[in-house]
Amino acid sequence: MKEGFRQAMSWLHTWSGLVLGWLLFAIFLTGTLAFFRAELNQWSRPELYPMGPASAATAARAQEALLRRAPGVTQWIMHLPDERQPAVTLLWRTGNGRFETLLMDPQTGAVREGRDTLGGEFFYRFHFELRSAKVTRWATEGRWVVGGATMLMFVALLTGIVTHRRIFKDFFTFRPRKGGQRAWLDAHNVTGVLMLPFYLMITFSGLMIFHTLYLPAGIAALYRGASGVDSAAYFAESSGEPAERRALRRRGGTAAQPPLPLLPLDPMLAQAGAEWPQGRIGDLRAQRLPDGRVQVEVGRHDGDRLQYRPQRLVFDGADGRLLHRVDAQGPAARTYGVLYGLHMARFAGPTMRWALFGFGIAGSAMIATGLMLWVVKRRQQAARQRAGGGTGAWGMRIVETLNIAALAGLPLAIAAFFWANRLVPADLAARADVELQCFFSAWALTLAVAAALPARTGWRVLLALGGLAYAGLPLLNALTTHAHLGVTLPAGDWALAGVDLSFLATGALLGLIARQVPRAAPVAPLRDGELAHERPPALAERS
Amino acid sequence: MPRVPASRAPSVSYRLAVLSRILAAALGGYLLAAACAAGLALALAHAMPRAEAVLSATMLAWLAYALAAAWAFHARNAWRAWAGVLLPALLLGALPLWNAFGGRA
Repeated sequence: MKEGFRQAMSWLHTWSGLVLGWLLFAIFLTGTLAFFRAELNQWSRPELYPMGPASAATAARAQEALLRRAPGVTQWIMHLPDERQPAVTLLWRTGNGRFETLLMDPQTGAVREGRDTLGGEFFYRFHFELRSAKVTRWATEGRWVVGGATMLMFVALLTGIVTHRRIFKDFFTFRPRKGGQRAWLDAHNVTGVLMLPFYLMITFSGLMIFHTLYLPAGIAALYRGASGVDSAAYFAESSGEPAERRALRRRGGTAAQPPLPLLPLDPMLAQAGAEWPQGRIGDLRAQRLPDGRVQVEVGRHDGDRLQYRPQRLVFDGADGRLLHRVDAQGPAARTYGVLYGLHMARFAGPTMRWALFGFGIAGSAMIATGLMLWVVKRRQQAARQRAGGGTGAWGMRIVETLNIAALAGLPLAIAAFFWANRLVPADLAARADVELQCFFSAWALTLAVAAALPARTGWRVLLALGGLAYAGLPLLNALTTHAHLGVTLPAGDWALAGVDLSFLATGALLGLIARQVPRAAPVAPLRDGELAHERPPALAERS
Repeated sequence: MPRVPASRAPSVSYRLAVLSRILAAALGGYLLAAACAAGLALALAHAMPRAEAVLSATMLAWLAYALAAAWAFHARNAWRAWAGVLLPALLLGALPLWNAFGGRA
């Protein structure tokens, strides 16, 4: 029975991985890019470079500037700048309307307008809700699809562990010269085993992050009230909020309010600094409770600890005294917070962030080599069975085409997005959506190319184009903006310079991979009576 | 896993059996996960605050889902696949369901 179990799990591994493998690759790759979303945000808005330095006066200056701009503001959120996001981000609303947002120079308090773009936020939002436009009605549906794919990934990881019995021995096995199935299997094993704890963590934490959407049965069981499920109480209790603030979580919990006055932020910030001696301030929020009292919430910087979300202090808006300390209590809540924090990687410094990026690329490579392995294995099986390739041939062709469009096409489409960011005029209406349309059109085109061309040509063309597109981005940047390598390298602005240099490296890498695509024509089918292993090795099928 | 028949092309009954297992894994597995989250949360609520119970139960429920998927393809036939998923789901989910329809526990 044990052999039967491993074989069954091997079957399940193949199919759970294959069914949505291309979507999983897209999720993993864009999620990996999202580790650097702050840097990509900066690169996407070169008008905002350089931004003034932040100081202790930044928060007060920003509040004054906001009240000058929007005197009737009833609620505001202020994200303070840090080494990855140099501007003050302000969100506010007047009355009960939508939130508006703007960026502010931390030194002068002047509003800085960047071009209308999603920038790095696109990869972040695409990877968990398949975002396709700046404003969308389909966010929930997108999250459901990603959730289904995540569950398949979870099953594929666990069944992969079961199937792969010689984990440690195979970790040190890589036989690229053997070619064909063996090489792809070795690559899949190595990338799979290499960062297995990371893959398990990122997948499981992904499931937990959206557990209130995907699996709310526990909440429904314990928070059942007279008028249905009190999910606001669950959110409040799991984040350690005091009872009086729970009303704020209810939709429409704050009726139309009088505008907020100028609030005394400096004593609150001083007290927060005393509470968190080693810490940084992340954000400030001001709003009224339903009874009209103004409260100011000071949140610690979410990179100060592993557990997400950070601690918060609630102050009275009138006299500035500390009312509550808000933090998730309890071992389960903290475990959940750590899982969340590991996924979000807000805690990571530059070295750790690059390491996580590397793990993400390894994971994308694991998915990619798995998809390649399936095609190569099928092709070799079909060649061995002479006439037996009939029923499988169309399935193989579909997988092969989708492989090319996903593995070579998506990187090219991402490059197209960045090209669009530079080339689409800054004053064009709905500019952000135009950039996204360039991305999706480019991706669709790669699918058409993959379907039309023979496989090897398709690989070579798309990989080579991708290499050129990425290598050309720093040049395009220099031709169209002032925030290029010639400026950012001498100034030591590594956020921007790093993006340009990474584009160059990606271009070189894609070009190298394009050159690895073999030029040999497909091998002739076996003649009557000939068996594959009787052929001289030089003529054996290589991919 | 059902044995592949001697003839080259898999039979319709084989295909249906695989489909049944897939449904047992995907849909039945989700039912088991939901029952696990709800039933375990109710049980744990006696020993810890509500939010803690919900989070603990939900984290375990995802593992239950993965185990259900493994079971659905390890079981000797599709019937046993469904039984192995639905019976625990009914056991764990009985009390939460009863609560949901007006009972109290």
